[in-house]
Amino acid sequence: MVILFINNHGGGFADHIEVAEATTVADLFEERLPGCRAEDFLIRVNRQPASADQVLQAGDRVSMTPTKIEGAR
Amino acid sequence: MTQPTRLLLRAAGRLSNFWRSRAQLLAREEPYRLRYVRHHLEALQGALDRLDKAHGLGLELVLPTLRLEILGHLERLRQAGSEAKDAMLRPGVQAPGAGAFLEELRQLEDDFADFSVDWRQKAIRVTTEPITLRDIYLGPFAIQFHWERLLHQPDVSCFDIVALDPHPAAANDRVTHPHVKDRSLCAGDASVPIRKALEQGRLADAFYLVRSVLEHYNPGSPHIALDEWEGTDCHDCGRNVGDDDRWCCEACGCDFCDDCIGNCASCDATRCHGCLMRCDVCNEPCCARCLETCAGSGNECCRHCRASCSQCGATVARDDCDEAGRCPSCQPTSIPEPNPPENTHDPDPEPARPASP
Repeated sequence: MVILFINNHGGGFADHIEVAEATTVADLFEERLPGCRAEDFLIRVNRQPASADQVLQAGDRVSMTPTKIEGAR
Repeated sequence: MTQPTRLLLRAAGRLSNFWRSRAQLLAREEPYRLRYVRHHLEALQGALDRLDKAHGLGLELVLPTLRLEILGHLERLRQAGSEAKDAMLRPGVQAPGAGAFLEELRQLEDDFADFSVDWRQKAIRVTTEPITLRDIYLGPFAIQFHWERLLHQPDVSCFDIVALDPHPAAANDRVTHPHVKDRSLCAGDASVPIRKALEQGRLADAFYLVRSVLEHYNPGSPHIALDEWEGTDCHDCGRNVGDDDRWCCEACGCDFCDDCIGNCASCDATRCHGCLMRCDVCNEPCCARCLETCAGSGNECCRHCRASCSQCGATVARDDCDEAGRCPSCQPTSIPEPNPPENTHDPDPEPARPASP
């Protein structure tokens, strides 16, 4: 199934991606942001807060935004 | 405060129009850049034709000028080509519709305190919670997105960051956050995702990223480090001083205010009063490097007040040397002149007084 995945980490992009049926938010996070900690991200599904075990549905809009990001001067 | 749907719709419509204007601007850029390439190509072709002709007619004198002209055209063509390539490779921008912006605005309204639309300033404004970084209270900030700026630069410069309960750095009150100066956020790692979010009309994501920068501290690159936020206490008198008024003693390494710092009269080095001593001769303040103990007297003298004995080379106080530059030890011992013999001839004898009658 296809979902809209918005990754605001690093380059920051939005793209339609293919994910397996029964993929959870935690699965997607691990797959797309390996090495990162979920607690350092604001994760939304269809603009609403999501739990780690929430199963994604076709057409979902998933955004992952870092909450700890380094500014500069 | 929840905005009436009518106002949100109006704001969403306005935002959509601005994104559409930007998309139209970008769409016009590609043909414009290509026309520029064609213009330089034709100019180059003309110069090449003239070069061929000059070669054919043996006009050797004109060749250097023509070569220079061709080099100029090549450079301009290269630049125009590069700009055209960028414009062609840039992904087509699709302006989100008013409905998409309405969702963005609703999300901002749900997630931030004090969401509002400032029609006069043409800005969307939200407020953060009070921010404290490393035990330093910085207060809440308003994040203002000025949609007109989007036409010029879809990046973090569209945002103003306004301290609502300012606790600026002691050294500079224009710095209200380690990464905010003059209301401008230095977004660092968030710069690219903010730009991408704005380009794609993901307004809420851009606001979240701005907030993430505000709620996090990067000690590697602040305008003013939080360690120095409250200023520095003068090591001598204890007065709190900002960076602009802080002096560091080069000898002891401590920080001082401008009342408690001085300079060596000899080498001009910066020293605190505790690290300056007085020259025993001129009484000027000097650093330890510039004072030297003089032979004989044992005085501590600065470089202006000491000299090397012209005879033995010892360092001595300049005042102790004689006209020939000799130290007291090397000066010849003075021989007392012998007493003049009695009844010697007086060259100018006082005339004898006449005897009293």
